[in-house]
Amino acid sequence: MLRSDSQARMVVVRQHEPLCSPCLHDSISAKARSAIRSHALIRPGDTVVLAYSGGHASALLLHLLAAMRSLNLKHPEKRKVPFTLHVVHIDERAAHSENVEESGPGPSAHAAAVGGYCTDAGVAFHAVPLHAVLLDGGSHSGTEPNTAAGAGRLRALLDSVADATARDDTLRALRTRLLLRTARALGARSLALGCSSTRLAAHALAEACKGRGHGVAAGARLVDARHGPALPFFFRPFRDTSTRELAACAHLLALPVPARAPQRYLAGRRGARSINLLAEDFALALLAANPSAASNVMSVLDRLQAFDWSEAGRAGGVDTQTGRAQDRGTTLCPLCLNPRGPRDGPGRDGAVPEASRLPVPAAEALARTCAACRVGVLGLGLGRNHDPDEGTTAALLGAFAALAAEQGEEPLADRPAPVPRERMRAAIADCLL
Amino acid sequence: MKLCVECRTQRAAMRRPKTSEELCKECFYTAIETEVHETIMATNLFRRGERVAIGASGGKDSTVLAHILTTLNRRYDYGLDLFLLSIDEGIKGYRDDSLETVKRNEQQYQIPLTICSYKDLYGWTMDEIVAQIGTKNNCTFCGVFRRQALDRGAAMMKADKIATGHNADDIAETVLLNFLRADLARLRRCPSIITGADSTLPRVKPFKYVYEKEIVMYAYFKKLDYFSTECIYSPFAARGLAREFIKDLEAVCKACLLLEGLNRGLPRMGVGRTKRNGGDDESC
Repeated sequence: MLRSDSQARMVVVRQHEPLCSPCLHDSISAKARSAIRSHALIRPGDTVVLAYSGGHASALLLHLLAAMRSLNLKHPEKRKVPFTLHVVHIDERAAHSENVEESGPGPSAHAAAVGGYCTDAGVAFHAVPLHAVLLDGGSHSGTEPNTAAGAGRLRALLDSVADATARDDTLRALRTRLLLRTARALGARSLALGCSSTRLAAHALAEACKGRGHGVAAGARLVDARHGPALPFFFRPFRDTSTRELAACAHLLALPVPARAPQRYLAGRRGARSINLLAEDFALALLAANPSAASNVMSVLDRLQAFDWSEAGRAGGVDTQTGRAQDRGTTLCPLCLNPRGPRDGPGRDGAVPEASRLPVPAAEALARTCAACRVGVLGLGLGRNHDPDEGTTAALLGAFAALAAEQGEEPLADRPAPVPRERMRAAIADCLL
Repeated sequence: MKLCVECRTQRAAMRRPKTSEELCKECFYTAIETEVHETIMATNLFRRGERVAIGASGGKDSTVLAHILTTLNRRYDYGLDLFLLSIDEGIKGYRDDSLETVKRNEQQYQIPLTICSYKDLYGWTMDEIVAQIGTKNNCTFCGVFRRQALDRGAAMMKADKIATGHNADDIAETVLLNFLRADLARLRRCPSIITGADSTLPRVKPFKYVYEKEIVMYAYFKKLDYFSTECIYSPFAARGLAREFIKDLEAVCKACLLLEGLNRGLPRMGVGRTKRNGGDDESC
């Protein structure tokens, strides 16, 4: 059934329902705006960072957020909010290219194009090289001194990880840390991600395969405030929209997107493919056969229990600056940022290098890792012939330990938390039926 | 499956401590909200058009008070102009996080928030005061300063009344404390639902008859979250002893409980399992 003027360009992105460009845009925009407004995710005067990957989703999110801004703080226009928007693009070319000199110090051609778009929209654009996450100081400028040295350090760190999945996960963890650090340096309260339902479903599948099933629900919620009050919270306004819809809309609006999709996963050695890539391929194949698969997965994730810091919907208005790990004393794994569970204690994985042989920051980081990361990312406990040398382990852990300390994160166990529901329940247990 | 005794259609989720009735969630909310509304009406607690400062600490009482007052104001059209008033005593690790909950309440209920700090008003934080005088009389300082801070904050915001979340348990403890101190003046005043009725800024306690446990239950089922970090100086407070005593009193002998139920027309009160004292009868 045609929904509007048949002169407009039509696309079929949802089952067999043709939509014209304005209707597609309005539908996507309305969903995202409704989520943002009903949970007060962007307040007047806020600073918001958009994590811009270069794909269709983040391009469309940039377009949408820029349109939501009012430039008048005192008398905002109707349906607009006065807030400051920064666009942060993590330049990962050094991680992907074989020759570090190829990446060069300047921005990529695509980043330059988006930079121009942002300038026109009156939005600040920052291209930050990924290797900046390993440097001290926390500067988010794109003109790092010793860029080649930094890129070399990054390559060396990633190369020290033999397993393709582990390298992907390390890359992802470094990217997340850098985004958080950069957003905080910009004074942001929140960080917008363009994750689509398709991407979230694929990611959930991959995480479940890697033993991080307990975190998949939280990783797909609208709001993710696990990092605590000192760091911005994530929000995902496109979580109910498919990649196909987002790509079609971005294309129809002629937004600046690169000809080739941004490289998300590292090339494995000898062509090995990571679990992440396999899961994504599986998800895409599934969707080709059954377009509603992604929404089915999202529906399951919605019904799984997440953590308190992601329950935006139930809490009504959300003050995500009080995001806490669910239980007092629960720490987040410094690598995957999932809460550790009771089965994540050391000793379960077999041979683990004695913490005393590692430098102190690395040892402390090791004590906080979850079992899935210890085995999956650090490669520990797989057996004597497979365990990495201590140098590799120390280098990886050291990188994450340094990040945690630099960001001024207190051990979450020491932070006071809202009264856990278990404690409330214990107080009224004799009255419950 | 037990059915709610009120609506007889939904599953009963809890037994109300006050009445021992088995209720579903919705009927429980209705019961609490209606009782608070009836208290407000019976005592003429508010007048139409009044500006009311809700003393908000981020704790369970003020969080639930903010929720219920905004609900009742809307449902029964009290016509009140509500706002939240928070005091920052400057106790590190105690107030900082609970203030975040109050800021969330501001967002959720769309009522404005004002924060007054001891530092701004008096030039001293509680931490600085305790460093100076020790932990013997610090509660006195804090209590006096907080009362004045609330008054000043409310006056600054042109409030007509201050509403606090003191519940039945709090008032019982206060009565006991004043009794033990032989403070007759306070003993006479403290159970009143309105204090300072003749002054420019009366204080009201809409939760005077609400059990603390029922406030926790309301917050639990409604999924309201709150902070209840014990003030770090509270182990030294006399109120703690009174609280323990009252909790022990609640584990009263079975016969008294049953008799009380009969006399109050609540024959089910005290019937059924009570975990508190293992069911042993003690003569009283």
